[in-house]
Amino acid sequence: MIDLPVEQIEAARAGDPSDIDRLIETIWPDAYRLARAILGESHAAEDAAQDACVIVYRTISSLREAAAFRVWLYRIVVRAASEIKRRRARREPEIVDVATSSDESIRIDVWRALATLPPGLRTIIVLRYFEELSSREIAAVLRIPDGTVRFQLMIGRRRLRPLLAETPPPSFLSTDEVKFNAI
Amino acid sequence: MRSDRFEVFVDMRTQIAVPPVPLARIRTAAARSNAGVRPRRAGFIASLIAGAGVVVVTVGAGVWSEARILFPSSGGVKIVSDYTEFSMLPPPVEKVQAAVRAANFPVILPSGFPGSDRPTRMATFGKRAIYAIYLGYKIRDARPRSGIAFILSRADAMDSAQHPNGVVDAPFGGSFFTGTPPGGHRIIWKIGGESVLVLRGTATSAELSAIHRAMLAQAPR
Repeated sequence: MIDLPVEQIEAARAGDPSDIDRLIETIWPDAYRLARAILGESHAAEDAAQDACVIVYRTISSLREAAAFRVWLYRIVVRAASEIKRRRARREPEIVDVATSSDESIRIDVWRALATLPPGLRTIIVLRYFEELSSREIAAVLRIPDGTVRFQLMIGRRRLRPLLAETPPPSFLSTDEVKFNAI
Repeated sequence: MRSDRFEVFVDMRTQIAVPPVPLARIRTAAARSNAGVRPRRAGFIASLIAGAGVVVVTVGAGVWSEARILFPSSGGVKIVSDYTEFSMLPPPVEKVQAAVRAANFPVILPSGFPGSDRPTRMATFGKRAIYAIYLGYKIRDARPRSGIAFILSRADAMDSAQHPNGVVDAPFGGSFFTGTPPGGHRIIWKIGGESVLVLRGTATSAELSAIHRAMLAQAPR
């Protein structure tokens, strides 16, 4: 979840390259993880995160207020990821990296389940459950009505539920906790 | 409120291995986009402005150091420049003011419109300084691709005898388009040290006269 000190954002907005470098280094892991969750593939995620960071690097000084940074950054990463997805969809089938963890099959199943969602729905699910954004924040990031986000979340949960129903619980969770509709 | 299931997702997120930040590549790419031109957009910009009967050709640095405005025999208007910036959105006042300050000629902005004096489109031409400014305005509730547009430049920028009428080096893929301004009229006004090419569009004669008078009454900025 992207959360930076206002001072760091303000310093980067002032335009000093070393401050912008520091900001990029700070946001890179979040940008990459978000792109990775949306795209499901590490190389594409790296490209998307890099494109997003280039945009941040170029335009941070035009950001009107530091308080808007979080939503602004999410929006840039989501757009960069969508653009990469659109470009790649033309020439190759989707690749989903599932081996993110060696021991927990639930993670693999969640990645696979996410990959079955259409891109827009997947983005909303990722922003809600990976990034812990509220529906209102997601609405701000995607510039769509809050009600639409809530509706899409309901659809997403409904679509994921059967796919995850058979998922064995990881060792640190009870069976009840794995039911997707508990979200 | 977070559920336990929610924790699973967050936990998955933190498990994603993150590659090292490619800072040098990011810096280089950012610097390249700031310095130049946005090559991928050159054709797009040209096609947008072509809708108003204007052609933008972005040529390589060193070929031209400033903007030239040409009137090809095939019709329309062609702006040749080493650097072009174009926004599809109405430019903020500050951006217009910045363009005026960076211009290498005494700028008198169009005014005296029946509605708002705020432009709905702007393009600037020139790298080291701004040699020409394209401004589009709505007249009344004009639909897109109508209204009125102006190309402001230094008086000598429209001397077509000094520049090539044929092959222009366009390494960034700038395309040539031809067209005629909406309404089929273009007018050139000399206002102080500024040349104003008016792409009349849907403006009436009375509106044009009002704009001309208002511009003549202004001091250069």
